[in-house]
Amino acid sequence: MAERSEPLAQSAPTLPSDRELVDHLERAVAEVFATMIGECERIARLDGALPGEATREEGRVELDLHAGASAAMSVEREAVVEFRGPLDGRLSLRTGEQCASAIARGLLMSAPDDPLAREDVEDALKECANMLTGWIKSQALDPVGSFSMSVPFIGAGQRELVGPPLGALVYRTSGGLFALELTRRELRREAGG
Amino acid sequence: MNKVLIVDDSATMRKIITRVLRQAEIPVGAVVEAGNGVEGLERLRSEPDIDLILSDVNMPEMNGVDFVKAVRTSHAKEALPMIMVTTEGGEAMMKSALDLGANGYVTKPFTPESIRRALEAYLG
Repeated sequence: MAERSEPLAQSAPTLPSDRELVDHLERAVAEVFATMIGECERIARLDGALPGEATREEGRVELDLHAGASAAMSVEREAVVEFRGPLDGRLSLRTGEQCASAIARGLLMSAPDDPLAREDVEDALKECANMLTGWIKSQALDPVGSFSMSVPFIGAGQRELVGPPLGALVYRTSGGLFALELTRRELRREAGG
Repeated sequence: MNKVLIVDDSATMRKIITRVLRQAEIPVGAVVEAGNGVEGLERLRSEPDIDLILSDVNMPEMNGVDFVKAVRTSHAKEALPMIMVTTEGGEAMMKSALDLGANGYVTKPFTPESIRRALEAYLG
């Protein structure tokens, strides 16, 4: 059998799969929380589809964690960071008041009884989302293309699906649950652009 | 004791860095703050005894790269140590800052030890 004489073409780096992006997000949470915030325990990972949720009462939702499991969670705060490049998407950190305060206290190294201003809590959530997205960008996206990140911003606290879901992670902290959701962002392209 | 200028658009991150500096037992006296590069330059003009700058990279109005450039083109500040603080994903901008004269960098998430290592060569 004749051997190929021409060199094998070097394959271009490919975008990470949805599952790989969620893997990176999981590692980011482990690193960021262990280094700067405190303990958290992953209670659910959902690849592909985001958890189904139904509003139970004002500010609370029931997360369907698949396999028959569910968890009630307050969703009063949301911090979002978008990334753009060969893949456009966003990371959303959604949680309730108590868990948001726990994350802020961890980042600020505050005692449990130290008062926290609303802007401190929102700023801390934004920083958390920023560090997690920065990790994904550095570890998973930058090796395959040129990406940029938005400045983190506060969302409405309600799920805002902007494109196909990639996956989600749900964690428990001393202050309650938080959810991280990765979605592709569907951008309207200029015709012919 | 050394006087440090922290430039970051997040007030929370400025607080965190200040607390980490204390926790790391770095010989820092006064800490002054600015929310972006423009404010940072104003601080440098009004407080000429600043010994070191810790600056975010991704900021509104004047980002960290332009801030480094502005500080380094000022003859009075060309030797002032500048350490950049950024998320892992900000490495491209960070490289530009280093090319323009920043002395080092720390990536978020950081520990008191990583801050101490980045600063110890510059603070007596």
